[in-house]
Amino acid sequence: MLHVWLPWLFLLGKILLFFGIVFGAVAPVMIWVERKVCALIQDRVGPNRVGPFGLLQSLADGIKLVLKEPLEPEGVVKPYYYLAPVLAVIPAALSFAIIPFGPPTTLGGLFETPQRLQISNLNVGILFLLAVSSLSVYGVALAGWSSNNKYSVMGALRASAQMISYELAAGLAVVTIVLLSGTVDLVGMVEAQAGMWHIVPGFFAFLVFLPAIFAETNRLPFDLPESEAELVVGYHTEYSGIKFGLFFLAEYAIMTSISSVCVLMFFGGWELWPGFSWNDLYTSLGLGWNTDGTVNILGTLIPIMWFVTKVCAFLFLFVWVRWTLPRFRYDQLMLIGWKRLLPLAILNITITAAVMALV
Amino acid sequence: MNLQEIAFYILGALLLITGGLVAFRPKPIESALWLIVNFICTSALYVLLGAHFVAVIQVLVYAGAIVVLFTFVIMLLNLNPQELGLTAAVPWTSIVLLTGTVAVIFLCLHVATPDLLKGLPVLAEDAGGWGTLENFSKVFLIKYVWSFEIAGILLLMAVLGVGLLAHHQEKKAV
Repeated sequence: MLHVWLPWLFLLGKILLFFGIVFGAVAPVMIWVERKVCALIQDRVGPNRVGPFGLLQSLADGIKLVLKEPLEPEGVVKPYYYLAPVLAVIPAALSFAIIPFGPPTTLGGLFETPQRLQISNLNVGILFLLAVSSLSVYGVALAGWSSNNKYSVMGALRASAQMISYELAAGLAVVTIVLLSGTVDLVGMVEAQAGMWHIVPGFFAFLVFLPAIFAETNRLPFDLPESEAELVVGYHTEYSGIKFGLFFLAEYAIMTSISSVCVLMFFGGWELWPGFSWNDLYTSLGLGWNTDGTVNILGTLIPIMWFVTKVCAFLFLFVWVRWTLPRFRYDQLMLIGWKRLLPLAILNITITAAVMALV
Repeated sequence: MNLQEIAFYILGALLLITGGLVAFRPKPIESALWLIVNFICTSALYVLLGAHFVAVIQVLVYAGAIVVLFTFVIMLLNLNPQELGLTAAVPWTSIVLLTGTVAVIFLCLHVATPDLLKGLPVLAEDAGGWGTLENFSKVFLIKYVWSFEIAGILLLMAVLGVGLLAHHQEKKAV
């Protein structure tokens, strides 16, 4: 009986684990980290009243957002005003479907063959992520349009233009990595990086991909759709309570998924170090192995932790950049997207393809 | 009727209904949004056929880029939704007309071709994976490489034309 239910339980477990961690833990903790780092950079104290080091501040904010009166501004376009926050969260949640967070494992001998620590193993791999993230613009666009507010519409327009422009560059950067690893499968990409992380041969792809993902997630220095100083907060000016909370949640969820993809594509995923795998370490330390020579639970958990550490480093980079760099002007944004990143990405693909064909 | 047939009929009905809504909704932005639902249903139909790559590209290119441009233009032109007159709801007649048409189409299809779905490959794995990325690319870039190149040149010409037009206007303004 167990062998019938085990794959389903495993799937359910992965889904619950992922969503529980990302929506229940990463988003609140990230908001706390964001405020603390911001305070550090601006030489302030930051949240320090609720709980130790203000750690429970996000929880308090969450409770406040849920309990707040659901305000509905005058003149909003009804179904779309309520639909927009949901549409913002759906792509963020869907993008986690294909992200692997650890090496294939038998779960300490529970399974006969190694199982992927990935909710769904799609044939199209990372293309699914590109498709889903391209849909995230609708939440923003719809929110701005349905709010009946000029600032919001401006924010929505900027978001649409910006996301289309930078999606192209991000997609082309991904093409380089697909060329280098010879697969679109994210687990395959990580395995292809055993000898050398893709950050070295794909450095220019990373140079294109990093600004592009900052723009896709609407983070500073590309947060023109929000820009507090000129557009109030752009597309979500008219949103309050849990509706605003959903936009907030979506932002941090997308940040997490994109950071994971970045780690998987460029920094070797859960691989220990270029040219030095976990198995080498386990052999030299004499731990992490079962008696029959397979990797045990501990040997699986350590790479997962290593992957999480890398993702956290990336999330910190997002926060660090946000509180350090000023915002671009709109014409600068378009100039960087179309005249710098796009040609660089195309040139990079051509050179990479040529080198790979010759060598 | 197996599960796949049921899924096909549901998707087909959704496609026709959303297609009708694209045509009949009074506000352009609503039409654009229904168009996205329509594209996603089309994509699901491709998945049913085992063509995963085409399904993803359908969402990526059409729903993720082209309709974004549509909504962009629509939002740019109708900055104030109140000016459009929100009272202009869909007349009941068009809804009746729409559902009637959908029903008739389905009836005709069902009567005329009782074994319409016999040709459908069973789900992706059983279909020999002909729609996977690898097989798609092989056919696309080996067998149909010239068609692909010609389509590319056509698109390049369109891009050049747009560039020329934009440049021309700019010159006039100065």
